[in-house]
Amino acid sequence: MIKLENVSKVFKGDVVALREADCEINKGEFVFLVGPSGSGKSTMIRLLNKQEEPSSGNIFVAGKDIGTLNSWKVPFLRRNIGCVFQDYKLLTNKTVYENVAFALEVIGRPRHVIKTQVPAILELVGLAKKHKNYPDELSGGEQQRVSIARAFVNRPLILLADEPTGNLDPATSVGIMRLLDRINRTGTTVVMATHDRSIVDTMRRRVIELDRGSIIRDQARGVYE
Amino acid sequence: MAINGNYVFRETAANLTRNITLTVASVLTVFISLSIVGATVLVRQGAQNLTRQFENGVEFIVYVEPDASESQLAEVRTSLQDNPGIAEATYIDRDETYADFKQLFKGQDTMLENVGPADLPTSFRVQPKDSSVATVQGLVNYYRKQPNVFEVRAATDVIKQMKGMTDFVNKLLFFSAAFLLAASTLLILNTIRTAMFARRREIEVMKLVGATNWFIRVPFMLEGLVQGLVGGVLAIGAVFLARNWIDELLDKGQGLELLQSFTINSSDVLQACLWVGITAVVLSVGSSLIATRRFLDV
Ligand SMILES: Nc1ncnc2c1ncn2[C@@H]1O[C@H](COP(=O)(O)OP(=O)(O)OP(=O)(O)O)[C@@H](O)[C@H]1O
Ligand SMILES: [Mg+2]
Repeated sequence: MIKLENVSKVFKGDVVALREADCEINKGEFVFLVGPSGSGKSTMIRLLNKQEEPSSGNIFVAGKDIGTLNSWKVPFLRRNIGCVFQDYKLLTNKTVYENVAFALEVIGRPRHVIKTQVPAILELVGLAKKHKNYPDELSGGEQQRVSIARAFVNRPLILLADEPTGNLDPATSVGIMRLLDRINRTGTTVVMATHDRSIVDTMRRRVIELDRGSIIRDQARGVYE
Repeated sequence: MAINGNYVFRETAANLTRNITLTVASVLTVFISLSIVGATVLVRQGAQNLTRQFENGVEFIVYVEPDASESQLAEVRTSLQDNPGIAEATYIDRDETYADFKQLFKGQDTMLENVGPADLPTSFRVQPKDSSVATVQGLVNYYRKQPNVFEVRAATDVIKQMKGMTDFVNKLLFFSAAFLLAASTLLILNTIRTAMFARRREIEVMKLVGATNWFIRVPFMLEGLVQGLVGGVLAIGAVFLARNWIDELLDKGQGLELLQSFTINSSDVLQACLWVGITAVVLSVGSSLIATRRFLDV
């Protein structure tokens, strides 16, 4: 599903964010990216949906070399990749329902599809009752659920999550992880960058550890360190 | 890809109303600059009509020195009759000359006061073969320098004056239009950029969920388009008003005598509107494209 071949990313000023990374992630896998701050986790995630271009190396997503992808095809690549962030990135002037519907609306999905899919996904993330609320009327955990609903409503093949529990307390984080686990069990490949030791240690999934841009550990059913 | 019309309409309306002062400012600037474009066309057309009118059967009058002898008069007559550029030269006696003189110098009171029928010269009414302004002017200049000729009066003088004036006005209008069009472009760019800045989070999300570049662009492009076109429609209205105003001015006989021949007909108005419309479309499409290219790195 995802393959990195000798991928490096050097930012201006010779900051090496990723150094000759090689790895392959199969369909349906759940992968944790761990490592100290600045080790390149976010960079790796941003490379996967072409928010950044690699300085060298090849990246394959869903069998396609995304380095040679025409720029007009990038949006269609991104429709297969859901994204969740630490800061939720919800639109504050839209309700829960509208935030999720927005993701379908802007990729041209017909109204009847939106009308059935949005309530279904809100049910899945447990927010059916709050569909009329605005983001600032929700707790952090609830906001993250909305953002997950938005990322998943189009049933992407891959879900990228960059520290999705970074702003949440441990109990709320567990709820979010249950949700991501459920999504993973529908066959969606999940790649999640995290600093949360207890989550990694209890889930026991594949762990890729980065240090100063290099992959220093790739362990099935791994732990945080 | 089918773009949801409802979405596009809603977003464009939101963009336009979010920063209403900026929108109004750019619409007004577009309106003023396009009105000047319209005025430029009207003045040019008016001047052309003026010239064309005089080109139909243009004639000039050669006044012989009042104290010229019979033989000197005959010299002038021969010179006129032998000139290959002249179709016909009719001799006019004193009384008739005075009537014509009054007609030609209508409005120029000092001339009329100082010249009575007694001290008026006799004259020849000359019909040139070629009626183009340049040839006529050539003949006029030639006879001005001939002996025994007191004065040559021709409509071409008037045309030359008018031309000089309208050329000047036209240049002035053209440069004002150019400057204001540049200002309009910048203002439209700025309103679009402001709208993009206000919606940067939406744009970010749209990119992440895979909205196409065109989908993201279209509401902003329409924003620019609406500003340009509203300004254009207002300017076309102004062109029609200006036409009525000019007509009224001329009907009342106000303004300069010369302007009587400065007419503007419906086809001129249509041409002005066409130019205003074309400029409006080019301006709005152009600035929308530039804005979405430059400020939206999709
Ligand atoms: N746009 C950028 N321009 C320049 N340097 C950048 C840019 N983005 C990231 N970097 C640098 O690349 C390196 C890796 O950054 P990255 O954000 O991938 O780390 P991270 O592992 O996600 O860290 P954290 O755990 O704090 O989120 C850092 O040294 C960072 O300063
Ligand atoms: Mg990071």
